[in-house]
Amino acid sequence: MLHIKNLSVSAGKKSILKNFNLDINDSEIHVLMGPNGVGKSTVCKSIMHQFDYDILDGTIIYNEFDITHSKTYEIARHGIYYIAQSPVEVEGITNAELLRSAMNEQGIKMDIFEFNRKCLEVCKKLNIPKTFLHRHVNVGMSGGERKKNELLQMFLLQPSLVLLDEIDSGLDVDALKIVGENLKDYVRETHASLFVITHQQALIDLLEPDFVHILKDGRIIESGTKELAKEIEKFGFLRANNVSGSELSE
Amino acid sequence: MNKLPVSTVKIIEDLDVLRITEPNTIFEIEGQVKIKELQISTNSFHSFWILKDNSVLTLETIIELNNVTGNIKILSNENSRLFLQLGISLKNQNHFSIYNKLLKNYASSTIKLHLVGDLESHSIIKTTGEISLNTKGNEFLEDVKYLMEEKSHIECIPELFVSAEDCIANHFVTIGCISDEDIFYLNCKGISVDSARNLIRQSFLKSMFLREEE
Repeated sequence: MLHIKNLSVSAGKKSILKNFNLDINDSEIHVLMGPNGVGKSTVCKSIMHQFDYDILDGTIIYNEFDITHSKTYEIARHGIYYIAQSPVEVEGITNAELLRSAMNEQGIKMDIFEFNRKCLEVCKKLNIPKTFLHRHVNVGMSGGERKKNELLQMFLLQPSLVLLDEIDSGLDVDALKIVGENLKDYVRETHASLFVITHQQALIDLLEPDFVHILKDGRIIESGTKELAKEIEKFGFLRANNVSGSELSE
Repeated sequence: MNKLPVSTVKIIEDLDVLRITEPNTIFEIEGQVKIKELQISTNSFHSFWILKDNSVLTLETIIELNNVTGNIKILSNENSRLFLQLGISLKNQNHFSIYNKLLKNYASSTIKLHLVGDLESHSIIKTTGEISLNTKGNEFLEDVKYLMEEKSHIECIPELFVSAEDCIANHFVTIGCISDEDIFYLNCKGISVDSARNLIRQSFLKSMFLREEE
């Protein structure tokens, strides 16, 4: 599915990712952790080819397409969906308008009745009022509402890989549970994959990731199962590399 | 015998469409009038709108100007109310002005424009408010917002001529631009750069009405 090989990325003169490697297969949930400022968000933004970042070296292959230097909308049309840490407000465009435009441009055919039915179904799932559809994109929404709004769009656009950058920020306990369970359901129903940046053990417990990775010095220095996240929670990132939590606790 | 060079239309009730089809037109507004749409189908025009005493004119619409040179002169009489909100999409070269003169007393005018230029368009937009000498209790507000695009050029000229002491007159101009973040956000939904720009332009034009509704 997604294969990132030897990716080096800079923002201006600052080198952020150095020989970064990652493989994500169908239906897998990957969590990326790491201390603040190591470039976790850069991974998502580089995959989406965000304008602030320069890809200096390496390749990003998605479903056998080389998307390393593709345009952002082309990458999205390949089925990659990105939920930013702080989704922007777009005044004047309603969610319904945005979704209809996006579906139209992505070639997703859905008549208006099916669209409405699906929207109502997702609103109910996410515990958001159906009036969300007629609100301007993220305008005047709280952090938690924005995240739910992005998920509403995700359910309609049906991507095969979802990049979530701190989806938990701004979510209260109940909202976090709803989001976690719905993401898990989405993977189960569509066989999509998730790439999740988070520090929240509660979310990790809900998602039960297949892999947890630690980012440091621009590359993944350690990968493991969800147990790795528990070790990090217990001992922090400052624990010696390659030394497991159990060894430290002895 | 004098021959009238212009056609005069009297508007006394709500109208779906106000059409400017000839180079010279005069519209006389009496009573409370709400107009839903403005259509300009001539490339060069002078249009005079006369708001009679105690009249109210409300016009909120989106128009497209494409190679248009024209001006709308509005004369506001005693205790008249003008509420004009135009979203204007500018294509190619335009020279458009709105001039509002408050002739008598206790009139109020609000003119709000949202301007957006198409790629490589070049337009001059002038809005002028004038409050006459020896009048009292008049209020005039002009509020122009325009969305800047990399390759479009809009020269926006707001003017105020105030000759009376007992009046309120304000004008505002706000300039914004389409941010890379907005484009990136829409691109992430699979919307191409051109479509994203178009969506933002349309939403900017509509936003003045939507905000009022909210």
